[in-house]
Amino acid sequence: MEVKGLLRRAGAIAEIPGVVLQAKRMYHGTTLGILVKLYKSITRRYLPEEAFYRGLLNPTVPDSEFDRNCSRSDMAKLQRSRNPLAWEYLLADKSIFYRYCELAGIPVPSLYALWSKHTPGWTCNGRLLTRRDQWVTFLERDCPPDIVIKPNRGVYGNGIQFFQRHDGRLLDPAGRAFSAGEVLDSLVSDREFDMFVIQARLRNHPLMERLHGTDALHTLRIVTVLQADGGCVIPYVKYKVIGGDAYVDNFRHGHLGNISMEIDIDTGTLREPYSQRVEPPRVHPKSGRALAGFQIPFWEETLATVKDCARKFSPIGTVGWDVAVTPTGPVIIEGNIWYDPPSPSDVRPVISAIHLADAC
Amino acid sequence: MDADRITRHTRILLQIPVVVAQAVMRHGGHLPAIARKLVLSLKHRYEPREAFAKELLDPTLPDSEFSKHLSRSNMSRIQRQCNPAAWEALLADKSVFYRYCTVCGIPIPTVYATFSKYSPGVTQSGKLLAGRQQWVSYLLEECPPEIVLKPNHGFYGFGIMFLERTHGEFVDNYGKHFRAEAVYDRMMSDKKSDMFVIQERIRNHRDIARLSGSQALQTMRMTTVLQADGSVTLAWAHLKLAGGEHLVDNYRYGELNNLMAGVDTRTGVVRQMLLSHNSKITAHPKTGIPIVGFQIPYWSESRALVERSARKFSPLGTIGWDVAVTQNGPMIIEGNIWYDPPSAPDIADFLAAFRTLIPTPKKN
Repeated sequence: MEVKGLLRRAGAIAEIPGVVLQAKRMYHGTTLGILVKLYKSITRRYLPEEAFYRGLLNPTVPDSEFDRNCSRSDMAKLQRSRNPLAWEYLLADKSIFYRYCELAGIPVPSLYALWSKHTPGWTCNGRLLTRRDQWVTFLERDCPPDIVIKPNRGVYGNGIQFFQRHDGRLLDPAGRAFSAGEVLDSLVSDREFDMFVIQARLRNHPLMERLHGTDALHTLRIVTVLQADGGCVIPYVKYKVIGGDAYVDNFRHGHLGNISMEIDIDTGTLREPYSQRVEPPRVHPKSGRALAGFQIPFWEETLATVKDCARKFSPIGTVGWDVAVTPTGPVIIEGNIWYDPPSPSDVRPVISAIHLADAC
Repeated sequence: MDADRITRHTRILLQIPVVVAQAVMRHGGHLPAIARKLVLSLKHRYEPREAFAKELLDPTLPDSEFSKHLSRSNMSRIQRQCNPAAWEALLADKSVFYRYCTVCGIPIPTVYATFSKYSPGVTQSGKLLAGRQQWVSYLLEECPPEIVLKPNHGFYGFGIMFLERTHGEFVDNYGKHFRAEAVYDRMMSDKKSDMFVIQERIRNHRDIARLSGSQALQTMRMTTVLQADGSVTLAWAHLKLAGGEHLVDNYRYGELNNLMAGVDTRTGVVRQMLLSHNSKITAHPKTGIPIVGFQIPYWSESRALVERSARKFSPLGTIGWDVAVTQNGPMIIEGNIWYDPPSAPDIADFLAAFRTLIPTPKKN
């Protein structure tokens, strides 16, 4: 067995005690009952933590629930069968992804600059910035006032920073003021990433902002599967609603208080919220407005944009796109070839679409 | 010490006995003098094989010769300072590179299909192909009869196949016959590459073909350096000419008998021949046609093309482009961020091109 596989197994074993304790607290079940569920999960290729967050360790949940779900590992196997690994970079690295999208005519947030730790950076007017003082000037004066800084290889919204410039100072959403030098220092000292994307901060469509009661950006996760004839199907869409005080809409197993909402693909309206673990809210926690039945604006345009985008990334066969609906229409925020498996009610259409494409 | 460094040091140690033996044979004895030159080479960060190929182990050459060259290692150091590592994938993988060029509007040989071993491939029309049967049908019925098969991660021309379909079979450049199934099996069984690009075969401009008397596609290596203000400098250019019977023009330290000719970056006129063992000639050894003074066709168009391409690939600061001049104009064949260092006479001008990107590019 290779080292990576051994490490993954060791990590899974280390998760077990914590997961069993959490499950006991949540479900008030016996240790034996939870361990039986855990054993069944592991034999179906779920990691312990994954099984817990999917509600599969609940002793009262029937075993048939395993068949309705799809483990991360099985999903990855399907994704590998459709996506050439060599093309992963085109989506995984945001600096490459946004440049490619702009050149291919795919709507993405305007790219202002690419900052690189060890090499000169790029700005949208074609100039290269090689020195710190040039970057300070760029942030203080040259770039537009509302910006997002994202690590090029960040996932789950980690490391994203939002700034608004006032009188040469950069304010984050909490109202803290930073100098351009301090912002640069945070990039230089970042141990995980060597490159960052500096781009326009987007706002949602006004109807969506009213629903959420916040100006933080909410996105749709839309999964596409290319078909043998070059056509594209959309088997799954969900809406990621920020429920807590976070400024990103990633679900992260519910740690951020965000809610994942399913959407009727035909109409673009939100369905009843669903969670296997806890009772989900029926109204938005901040605005108090009803979530189910909300009509996503620009629905037809959104589906058309995503299908067009998927074709431009062929031979990548299946992608989970994050799409923001803005006042002027849909904008692609990112694409993921290793997207998380959808919830039970939606996972079968995705698997069927992938198998159908294989069979053609 | 990290794993890469250990690998490099081991490689160097293993090269020493072979290279010393070769140098002794070529330069006729003088072991202590050769050993001294080898130590000097290592100090200047040359690998033994590289120093031997550049004639730096010749005991009769003055030590000042080192300052006229740039080692591969120091070249890589400059390249690392100019090119973000994350962007390497965009050039290193040919299937991705050609797609990026296509969306940029950069002229490349038409990509008929992209083959993938473990996932469906895609044809020019957007159709996905999976499995032996579909690929065999495609090769026999849909794709044009003259194709080039390139592994997505190939370099120095390794693994490239030139095929022509006649009477339901494929014939390669050595006259060997293949059934379409065998072509598919060959791609599937390739141990180094998971993907292949199936591409149009390009022919050179007639002036270049006449010069070398070869049907091989001969390209120019044009090295661009972006400047801080966004402009592009063509730092170095050379023409790669087929000298042997091979259909690739890569130099590979002279192993293929191919030739390199330095080109004046302003005019596109060949200035001098650069061969292995430092010998210099003025006419092509096969055709006898003078090479020095040869005007490369479509020179200003080629310059404009690499300058435009370099901007599209920014923030990559320096790229070595392989440009084919065809009867209808120039085309990009590939881009390399780890291109080999230029040859001796052009080093100073070459390094000067980096002054706005790197304050003091280190030579040796």
